[in-house]
Amino acid sequence: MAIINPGFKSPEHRNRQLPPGQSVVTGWPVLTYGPTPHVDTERWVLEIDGAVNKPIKFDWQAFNDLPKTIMDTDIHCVTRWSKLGMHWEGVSVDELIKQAGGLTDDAHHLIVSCYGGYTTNLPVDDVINNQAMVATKADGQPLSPEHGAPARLFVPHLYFWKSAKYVQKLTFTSRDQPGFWEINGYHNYGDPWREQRYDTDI
Amino acid sequence: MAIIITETPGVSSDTILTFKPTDWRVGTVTEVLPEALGLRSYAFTFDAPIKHDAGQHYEIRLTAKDGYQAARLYSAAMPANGSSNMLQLTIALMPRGEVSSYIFNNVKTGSQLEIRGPFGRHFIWTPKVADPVLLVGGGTGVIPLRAMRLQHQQASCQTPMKLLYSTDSYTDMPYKYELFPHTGVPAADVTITFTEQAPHGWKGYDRRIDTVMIRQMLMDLPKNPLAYVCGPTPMVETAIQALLEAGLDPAKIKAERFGSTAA
Repeated sequence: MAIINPGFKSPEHRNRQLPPGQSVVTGWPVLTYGPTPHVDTERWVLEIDGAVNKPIKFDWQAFNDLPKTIMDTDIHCVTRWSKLGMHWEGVSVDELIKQAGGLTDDAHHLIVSCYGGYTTNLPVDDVINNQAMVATKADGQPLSPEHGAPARLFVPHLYFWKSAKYVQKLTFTSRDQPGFWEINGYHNYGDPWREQRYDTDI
Repeated sequence: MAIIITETPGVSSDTILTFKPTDWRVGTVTEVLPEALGLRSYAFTFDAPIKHDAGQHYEIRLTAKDGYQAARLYSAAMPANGSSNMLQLTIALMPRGEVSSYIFNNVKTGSQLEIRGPFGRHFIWTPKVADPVLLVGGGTGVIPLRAMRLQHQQASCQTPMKLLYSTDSYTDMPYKYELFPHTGVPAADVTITFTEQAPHGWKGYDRRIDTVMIRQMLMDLPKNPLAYVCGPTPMVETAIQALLEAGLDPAKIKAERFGSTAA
């Protein structure tokens, strides 16, 4: 049971679409645990491997020749900000799986590795069926280095640390493997609607 | 032979284990210390000991009568090793900030707030860190670095730790009594740059953090230090770029940024 803070009022236009404990921002905060990797598209490669039938690599041109998908949605950061009504563009994870010849039966988890060393993990069920993409544009603009250029994973129904910036490799695995923030105190799954922020949240 | 169990007064050993970081606890404000314009340190006292690593953060949650809640993250401003029930958070008044403005206007000594933590296990310093350390802070980014510096002092660590701190002016600077004491010169381990208005007679740096400053700091430290950089995003980017140019391993740079890009 929360204590009531006398005189603290809810905003006049309280936003009902927000997950619990989030506040709306108009800018776009930047969070990266270390140096911003500057990844040249000339050298950029995206790799799909692990539990797929035909592991595959794309250079920047080949990746951009794939069919594009768009998502109009909100994003939610575990540091309690949400940015509403964004327009994202990229290649769906479904398409990337198709290009890799489909998943094998033991593909249960996705381990994401990034330029600069960041990692994160997600259940396969959360990245298929048009729920996730490798994004290259936000609100009509190519991603900036701070926000993950040239490409980042985009999984907007989970806290945004799962939408790994500077994505380099998608590895499908049979076993889960906690990533960078997942071993540094944050929740393994990260559902904003259930407020799964920290590793001791249920 | 008698077994002597020493306990902190008022603290039974089982309460220490009762709380998880994600449990909301009630803290009572026991001191409000103005640090600078729009910047205050609040000391909260709890019914159980506070323990965290320097660099970790806590959340404060406010609840309105209709059940609306808002929470924000604040870095611990001082170390806490479990020997006291006190937590100090330094809070900046944010423009249109619903939590910080409530705290500045309504929270006084005796007020009760819900707080939970500590959180975050990456941007932390503990006495176990064997590397020399360079702390680089801009504005309120100095808050977690100040906790690291105090913990380093308290642990009497022999590995050097130095702080490069960028602030708009003397007026805007928190923790003057530690970083820039009455003698009018910064503490021996602290280098300050004033980016907008330097104090009268100041002979030190008076520009934004740049490669020259970073290189000078690195020259005064043993090789291969660990770097902790905290501040507004552009300052963090500049400092990290300079650290990389000076040959520091990217894996040895830890960063915490605040502020947004325009869109």
